[in-house]
Amino acid sequence: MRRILVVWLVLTVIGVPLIVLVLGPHLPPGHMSAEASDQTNANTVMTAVIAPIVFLLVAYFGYALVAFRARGDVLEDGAPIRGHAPTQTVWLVVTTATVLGLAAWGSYTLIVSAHGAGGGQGPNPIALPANYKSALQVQVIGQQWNWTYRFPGYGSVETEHLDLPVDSDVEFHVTSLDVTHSFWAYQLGVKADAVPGVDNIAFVHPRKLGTFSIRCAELCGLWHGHMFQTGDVVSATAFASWIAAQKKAEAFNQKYLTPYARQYFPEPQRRAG
Amino acid sequence: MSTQAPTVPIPAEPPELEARIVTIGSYLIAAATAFFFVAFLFAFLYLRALNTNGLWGGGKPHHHVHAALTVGIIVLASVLASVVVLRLALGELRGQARPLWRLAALGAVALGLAAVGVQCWQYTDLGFGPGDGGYASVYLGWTGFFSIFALGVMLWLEAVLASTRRADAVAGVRVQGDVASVSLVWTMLGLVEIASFILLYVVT
Amino acid sequence: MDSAAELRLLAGRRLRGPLGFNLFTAIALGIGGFFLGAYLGGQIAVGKHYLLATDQNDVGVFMGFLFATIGWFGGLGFFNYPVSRVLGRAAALPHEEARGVGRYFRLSTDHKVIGIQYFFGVGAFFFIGGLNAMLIRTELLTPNERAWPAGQYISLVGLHGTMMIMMTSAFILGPFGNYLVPLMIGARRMAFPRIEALTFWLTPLAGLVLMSAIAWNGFPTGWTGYAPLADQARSGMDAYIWAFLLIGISLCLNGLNLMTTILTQRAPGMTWPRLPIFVWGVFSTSILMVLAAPVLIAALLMGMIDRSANTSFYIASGGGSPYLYENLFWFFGHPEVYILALPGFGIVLEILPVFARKPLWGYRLAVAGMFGVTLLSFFVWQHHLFVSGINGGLRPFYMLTTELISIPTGFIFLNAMGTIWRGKIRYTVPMLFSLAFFFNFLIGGLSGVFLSDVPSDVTTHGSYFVMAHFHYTIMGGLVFAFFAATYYWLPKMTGVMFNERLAKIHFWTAFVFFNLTFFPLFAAGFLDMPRRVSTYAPSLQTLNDFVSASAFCLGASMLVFVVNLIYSLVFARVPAPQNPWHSRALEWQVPTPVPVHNFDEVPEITGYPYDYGVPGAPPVARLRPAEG
Repeated sequence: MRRILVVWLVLTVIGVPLIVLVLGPHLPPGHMSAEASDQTNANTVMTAVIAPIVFLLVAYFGYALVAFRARGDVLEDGAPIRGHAPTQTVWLVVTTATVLGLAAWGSYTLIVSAHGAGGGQGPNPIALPANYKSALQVQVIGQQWNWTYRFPGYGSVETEHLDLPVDSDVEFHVTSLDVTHSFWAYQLGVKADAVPGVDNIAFVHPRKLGTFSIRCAELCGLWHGHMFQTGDVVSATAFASWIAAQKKAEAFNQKYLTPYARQYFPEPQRRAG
Repeated sequence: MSTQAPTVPIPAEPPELEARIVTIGSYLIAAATAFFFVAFLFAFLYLRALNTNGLWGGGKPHHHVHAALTVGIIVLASVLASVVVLRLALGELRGQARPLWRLAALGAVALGLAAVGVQCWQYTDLGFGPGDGGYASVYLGWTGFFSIFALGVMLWLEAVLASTRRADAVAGVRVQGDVASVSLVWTMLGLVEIASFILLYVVT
Repeated sequence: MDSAAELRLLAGRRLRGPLGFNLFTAIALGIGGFFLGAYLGGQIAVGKHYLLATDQNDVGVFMGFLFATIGWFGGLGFFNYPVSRVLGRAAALPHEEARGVGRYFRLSTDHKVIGIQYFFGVGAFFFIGGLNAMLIRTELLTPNERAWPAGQYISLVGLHGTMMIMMTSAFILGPFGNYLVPLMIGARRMAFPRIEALTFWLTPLAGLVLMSAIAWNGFPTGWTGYAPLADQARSGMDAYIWAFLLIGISLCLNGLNLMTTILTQRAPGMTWPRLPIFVWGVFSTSILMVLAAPVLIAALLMGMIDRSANTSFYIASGGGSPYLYENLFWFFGHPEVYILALPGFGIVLEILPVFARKPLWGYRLAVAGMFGVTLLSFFVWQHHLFVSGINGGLRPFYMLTTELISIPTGFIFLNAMGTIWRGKIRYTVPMLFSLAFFFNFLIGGLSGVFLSDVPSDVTTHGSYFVMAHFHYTIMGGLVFAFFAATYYWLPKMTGVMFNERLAKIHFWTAFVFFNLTFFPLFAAGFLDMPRRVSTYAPSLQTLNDFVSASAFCLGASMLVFVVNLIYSLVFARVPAPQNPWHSRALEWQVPTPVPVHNFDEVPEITGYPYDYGVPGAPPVARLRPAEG
């Protein structure tokens, strides 16, 4: 038993710092936004917490399966141990403490530090960034099989491409016109289901310039895999000129668009495909 | 495979055990029935709270679809009367096994069928259709599947009654177990009916 | 007696050949019933605009399925008993039971026959599902659509998911639950033998109905059948709904039957602390089946009337909500995962003591673990909906409950660790599969910790990470437990030993290629590959090609099993000894093959099932209490 613990201790002492320092920075989704950083940190912590558990079980089974193998063909019985109350108590206490710790830490990061961690929070979000009132509003509309975006702060212009200004709060309002999609901006660390009749809100705070990919993460029919776009995080001035150009380019289409709303109810979804 | 005799007998269990099996089975059926209707209860409360597209109460403005209260009261009264009569029949059976219990049980069947009949008649004169919003959907789904469950229980009770009429019928414990089981499930459905009456007719 | 003879004639036990009550009649009447029902449904819908608000007639399809179901069960002879009861005829159990191979193709109320029927039934669906997986991996060899058109690919994904989760819900409970529970508790039969037959025969019917979806080009929703997409889909969706409905009924009745059996049919002396751990696993699973399946049935019925009768439970523009389906479905769906997993826990904990030659370590802890999982699994369902926008404020609660469920699951690991400690471990094939179960389930369980944490879940939700996670728990857990059980108990069930060399080849290839297939998929999920896509980023092609190659090898490994099964059962036929594993358990004390009544006399249980090496431990039971 002592040998197992020694092996486990050595593995943990070597393995956990390696995970935190070497693997951690490479875990997804990266550091393009504050929310992405929060998720990367969460993934690092999770990996660091479960690594000792894996080490313990691997060391234990590795030792026990070799040391306690039956030798020879004679059928022998092992030691008749039915249980060991102190071990069970220790195990219960340790697993409970780990689990409660993880849940408390997860809830804290979700609500307080990570502002919802980029996940869809529904129409009444509770985890809000400090200056959410001044956040840039972007409506994300999913439909089979494309994403479009409307900017209510800019005359509700509808665009087919997503540009976001760096270093500012963005408030996504995700909704759908037909079936359930899921808006997944991978590098930004945003994922929010697009559900018909629902205004699903997610916050993000981009920190780095660059391109991010946008996918659909909920099966939405035939061309689910093709709901793929890229978006860009650009400087504030570049964003201002982009959105102005978009307003100009879309001015004709804009006249025929449905007025901006939190949700849209097209003709009742008829069942035929 | 084996080349034994083509048929072999199956062991029968003593009637006390059979009665116990049926009773425990009926508890589980009652639990499953409850969870089935909990789904409709959830649908009612959830769709009502969400009121998506403002369509909980019906399609047109200023027009709130609503099933007729009188019919609801008749259905509720018939179901509850049937439950009570069946419980009385069970008490009668447990007492001295007087033949009156069979009459009472038949009455319970009649009342249960009457409830289903009234419910079905109401569908023909409802004033709204299945497409008229959340309430209409829940109303038709809940009452429709309740009627199917009720018909099933009445069929079960009829089967129990019919088998006691045989000359060689296994009387006593086994029949008591059967009737108690039907009564338990039927009581659960009675509770479901009370809940559905309150929600679908009183609260809406 | 007249009516008894009449019943016997009705039940067709004297009838032989294709005209009796058997599978062939059932198929013929089922197909006939479908067309009759579809015709009648068409007549009902004529002129009713709200029934025909589409360009397809779902009323007709559902009526067709209803009549097909009635025809199928009529053809099998299921209505003979209820009809005779309603008419007041004989109500006793049938007095006799057919023997011979033919009994596997007709209604039988012998739990041993049903166990074998289930084994081959769910086995067939498992292999169809596996074939679908091979076709899916063929498509994923290239980043663009190559092998199959998008529509076919999406149907393959749906069929794979439904075959593996819906059709094989009873993967362990069906074959081993039905066969072994009466033997393990010293009973001669199940509590409700006819309901037991019904639960089995619902399964192949559901499978046929599900496969009929191919005639409408399948259904696009995957196994979850999410609502707005399901409302939009063509009639293949009706097949999905009806098949899942039948499986839901089967699950509910199976749970009812198993639980009643365990509660009422235990032999004298079979006190709760003496109950084999597999029976505890079945018992806790039964609770889930009885309570969770009705919610699924209700959810599917709402979907059915949404599609056919124009209600709008799930249609947002009609006043409903897609969230309603998601909530109801996952209220069933998460317990369903444990319906799959808990019997697996029972099986590995049953096998470990036998081959470690030690008592099960921490028996009470194992029972507590199983019931803890059962209880908690009703309170975790919204972790499937963390980013859906439902109740953002409730996410910490579901995060907590989801993480709490790892505590009882951890008990099972502690049981395994304690049981092998200072044992005399023999590495037979069942033991290897059981140990591999713990390795796979460890990875599957710990990857679930990522998914339970909301910030992590935002990255991994809906990606291949999730897919790898549940394949590790279900394929690596449940399927490995199934094979452990197969190699362990099939000698008792069939009277034939497996070829051990082939079995070992099967184990090692399955274990290695399983891990090579699914471990890289965690990386694919981390690298932004969503589930259920036929196209993906070209940079992921190497990874996907590697996975596909491993998956094909995994498929080949399963063929080794089929070869072994056929070789051992048909050609080699090495007779199995009564107790090849030197187990103490009750089911190994009866002769092989198991006598028709299991026990000539009701046995008296005198000891604990796992007392290996305990000095002076009494034998587990006296099989002939009258003489003893």
